[in-house]
Amino acid sequence: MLKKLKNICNPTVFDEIFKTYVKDLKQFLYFKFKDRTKTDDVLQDTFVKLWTNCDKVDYNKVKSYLFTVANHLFLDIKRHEKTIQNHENNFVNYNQTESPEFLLIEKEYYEKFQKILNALPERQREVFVLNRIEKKKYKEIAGILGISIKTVEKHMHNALVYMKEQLGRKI
Amino acid sequence: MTQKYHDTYYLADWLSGKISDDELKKLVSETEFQEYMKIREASDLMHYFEKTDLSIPENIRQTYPKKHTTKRPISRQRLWIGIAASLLLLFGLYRALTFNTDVLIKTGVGETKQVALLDGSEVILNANSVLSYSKSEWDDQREVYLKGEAFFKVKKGSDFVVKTDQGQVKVLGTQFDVKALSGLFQVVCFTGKVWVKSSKIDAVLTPGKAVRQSDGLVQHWELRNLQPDWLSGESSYQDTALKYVLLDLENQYNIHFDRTGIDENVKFTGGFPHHNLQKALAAVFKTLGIKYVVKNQNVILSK
Repeated sequence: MLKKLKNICNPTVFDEIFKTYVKDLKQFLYFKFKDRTKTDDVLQDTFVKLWTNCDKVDYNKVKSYLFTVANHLFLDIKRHEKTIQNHENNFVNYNQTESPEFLLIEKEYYEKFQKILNALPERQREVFVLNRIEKKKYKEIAGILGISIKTVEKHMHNALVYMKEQLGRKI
Repeated sequence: MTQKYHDTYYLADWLSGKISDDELKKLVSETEFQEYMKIREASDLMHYFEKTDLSIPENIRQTYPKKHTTKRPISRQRLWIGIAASLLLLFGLYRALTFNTDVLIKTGVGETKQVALLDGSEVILNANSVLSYSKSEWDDQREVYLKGEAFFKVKKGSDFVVKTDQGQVKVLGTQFDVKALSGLFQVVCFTGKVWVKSSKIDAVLTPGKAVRQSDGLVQHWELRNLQPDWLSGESSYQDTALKYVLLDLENQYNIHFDRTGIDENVKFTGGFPHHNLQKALAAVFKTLGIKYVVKNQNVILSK
């Protein structure tokens, strides 16, 4: 087998690497930080590091490089936050508002959610994904799938009921 | 029986926002409601994972071009460690906004912009603000000029200075917020250390500390948030003169206040959201007991 001698400093190659690994890296970081801003920052920093070291990284080892860098950056930040936390404990609390991190979704729940999404009847899954991931309105989905808006709403409603029942189970 | 309260496919209505969370609560059990909320959140998370801005690699390549012959030592550490401060020189600050700078970034009303600087430092500009700097001077001294408000995340490296026509801030490796308007100069330090200098201030801020010079008066205070509220869609104030709150409201929404009927120096403590004008106006004026009348883009204030 010929080993690929791709050059990461080549913009096309770099972009391709980005597209390939960005989703997994993002998930990896998000379930560590539980914070989107920090995830986005470190995600970007990781690729910046790859780019600035593009002539030193082996193309065949790029995945492990990216995850190693990301993990290091995560640990750096956590360590630093611990220092700030010690600082903060000395200050008077004027602003009571904590930054709301919505409902915390655990990795386990999210994986289950994905599985159940894939188990949905095809039409329901299509409607759900087009609306929630692709952010298409019901009217647009009706046009795309060639069905009525009412039918789109029906599929959406039923998809949710199904997911609620499956996810609510304690197996 | 009229479908007054809900449609058969009410879950679809709920997801699209046609019915509220509270209304859904009335239609299902508490356990079911929690489950639906979680599902909605998980699908939002999935959208977040699936949709990443694909212009990021290009931005990275442009920010770190590969033609340099001089190899700069690049630190990718995200530790905002302080570096030693040195004496600041005061220049003609206002002129500096357009003198000898070749990068100019502006935000309009209600707009925020996130900008990556040449060294990887980040700036998030709040509405109606201007940021400028010189690319060619960047290696020796990282210097930016600011009018308005911005949140800075500075990478470790050479001195980083923010100049405004009210005063300046020297960064000692950190995250901080600077607000510079006519008559108000305010700096809040979130991490690291900043050295703040204005006509009446010469202070080093550590995390959680803030200082402002407003119409000749200096105030120091402390806070607990790790980030300014306006980054998450809300502006908040601690004992701030109303005129500055009005300016921020005008910057966020496309409105103009008729201030002749009120005292603008009244102090306000509280906040307003960025995405709902009615709520924002209520949040500010109801607590102060000020009447407001909205006519297109104008809001008339009276006691």
